[in-house]
Amino acid sequence: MDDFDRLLKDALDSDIDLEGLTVDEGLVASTLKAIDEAAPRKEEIRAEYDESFAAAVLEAVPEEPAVQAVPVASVAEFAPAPKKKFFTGKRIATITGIVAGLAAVVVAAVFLGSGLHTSEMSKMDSATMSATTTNTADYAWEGAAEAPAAAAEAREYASFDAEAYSVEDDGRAYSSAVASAAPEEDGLYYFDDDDYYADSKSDTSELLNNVYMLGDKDLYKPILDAVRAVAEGEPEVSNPMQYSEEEAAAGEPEEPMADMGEDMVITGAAGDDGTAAAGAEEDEEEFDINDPTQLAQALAESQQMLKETGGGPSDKATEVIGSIEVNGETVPDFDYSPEKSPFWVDVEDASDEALAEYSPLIVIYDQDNEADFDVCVQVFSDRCVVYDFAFGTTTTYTVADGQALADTLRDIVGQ
Amino acid sequence: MVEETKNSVYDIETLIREYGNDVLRTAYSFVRDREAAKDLFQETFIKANYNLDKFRGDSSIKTWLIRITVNVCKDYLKSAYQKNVVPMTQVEEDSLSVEDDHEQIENADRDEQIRRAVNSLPENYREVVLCVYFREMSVADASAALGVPEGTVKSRLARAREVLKSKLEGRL
Repeated sequence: MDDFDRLLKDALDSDIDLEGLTVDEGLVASTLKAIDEAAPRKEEIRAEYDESFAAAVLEAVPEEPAVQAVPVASVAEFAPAPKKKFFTGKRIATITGIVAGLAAVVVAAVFLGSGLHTSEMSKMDSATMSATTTNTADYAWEGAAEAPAAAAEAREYASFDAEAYSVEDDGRAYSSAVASAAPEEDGLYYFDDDDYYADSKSDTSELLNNVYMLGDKDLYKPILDAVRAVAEGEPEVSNPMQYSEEEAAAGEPEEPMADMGEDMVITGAAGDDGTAAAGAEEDEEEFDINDPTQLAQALAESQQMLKETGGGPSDKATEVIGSIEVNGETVPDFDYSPEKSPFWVDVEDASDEALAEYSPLIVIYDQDNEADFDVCVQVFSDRCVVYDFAFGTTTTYTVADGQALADTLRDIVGQ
Repeated sequence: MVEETKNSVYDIETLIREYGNDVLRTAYSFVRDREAAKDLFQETFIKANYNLDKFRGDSSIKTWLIRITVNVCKDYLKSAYQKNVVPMTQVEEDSLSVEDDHEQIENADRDEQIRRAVNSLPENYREVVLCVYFREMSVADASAALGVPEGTVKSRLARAREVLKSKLEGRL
């Protein structure tokens, strides 16, 4: 702890407003009373849901659906399979390219630390999927062990319009969570947003349990609506850019997006030594984040590839980045959350530039291989733009600013 | 002291008495409003009671409670923001008397500026600073309490310090 730390701590400790702020008997008594009053309601709601939800699910799912009816009694059996490292960098990049469907989408990921963190990758997948469904609910999918290929998944697992609802996890109410559902070979899954991944516990039974907690009888309705949409076989996909019919028919493209005309995929990987990588998918190049020359060179190469392939800003950006709308109405309390994704940028939070242009993103990974979405870097053909969502700043760097950009990236990762 | 082992059966009243002050002060540090902090205190323990059977012992019970508190506070602030209510704009009254010596006044002024700077941080950064410096949590505990990876805590802490230093440059 240095002098500044000490000053900071002393200042917070010396807050005069905290003096005398202690729990008295009155507060204890009123809290216990409130707890007592709340407890019976929980059981009452749970009992009601058990009956009504079971009936509604069975009614929603026809006899020969693509998915199987799931009696509530056995819902727990359909908990997602244990997490496996399914989302490889390639698949993420492929999904990103497919769902974005934009000209010249380059995703360069800068990783610090080793390997890919599965849950984070799942979150990233969720993020890219949600980017395709500006006007629909969030989409999230938990990779099952025998899951189909990434492109087929992108086709198969569509999002659905659904109303916003709240779920609760370890006491946390996620008031802006949105219901989604997806068919799976062995059952039905229901998802909330990325919190599903963060805590690895919002499986079907857990989510239902959470919904019970909230005490709103209508909260399960969007889930049922989503189930019904699946069962009827025509899930609404609001963004036709998600994938082409040809791609849908062919399944996962044989070649990555890099070979699909002007599209290109850049992905990245990293090791324990603080190196990061950026480059074409088949030609990853490592560079030391502490070496501005290497970083500048890597960025320059990325930019050069963009130029050569005609990549660059797309006028389709506003179809991808925007506020979350459900049933035509903006989710009222939705706001940008850096933990979620750089794609989940509320229009009010994003700069005009971010909204007007969509270009490669560098996602910064921290020392635990977790994506730090507070900041993301877009690589344009002639510059890099660092968006600092936490502080609402935008800084543009040219390739010649390698040192400054390297300093910024080091600050971001706390090195 | 509440026994902290996996599968422990916690008594909510014991938790309230044992960790109530931590919860209350944490809530206050977020919302800067005593009455709101008490309401959030109640909400925290109601939610804790709901979910007590799901507590897995992955963190200490105190960290778990602080996590709930932080989340309840964040939801409150978000809600308050939506209603255009700004709970953090309490009028700060100068509690120092004229008898206080010059150094005390300077220190109090400095502390107040630091607190204001902390409160002006973006939420993600402010909560990390409060957890680590005010609640004296380790990075691991702050990580558990805030539900973010340790690396994120570290990076946010580093950036928060830089921003605070920048904001307070020339004043300290």
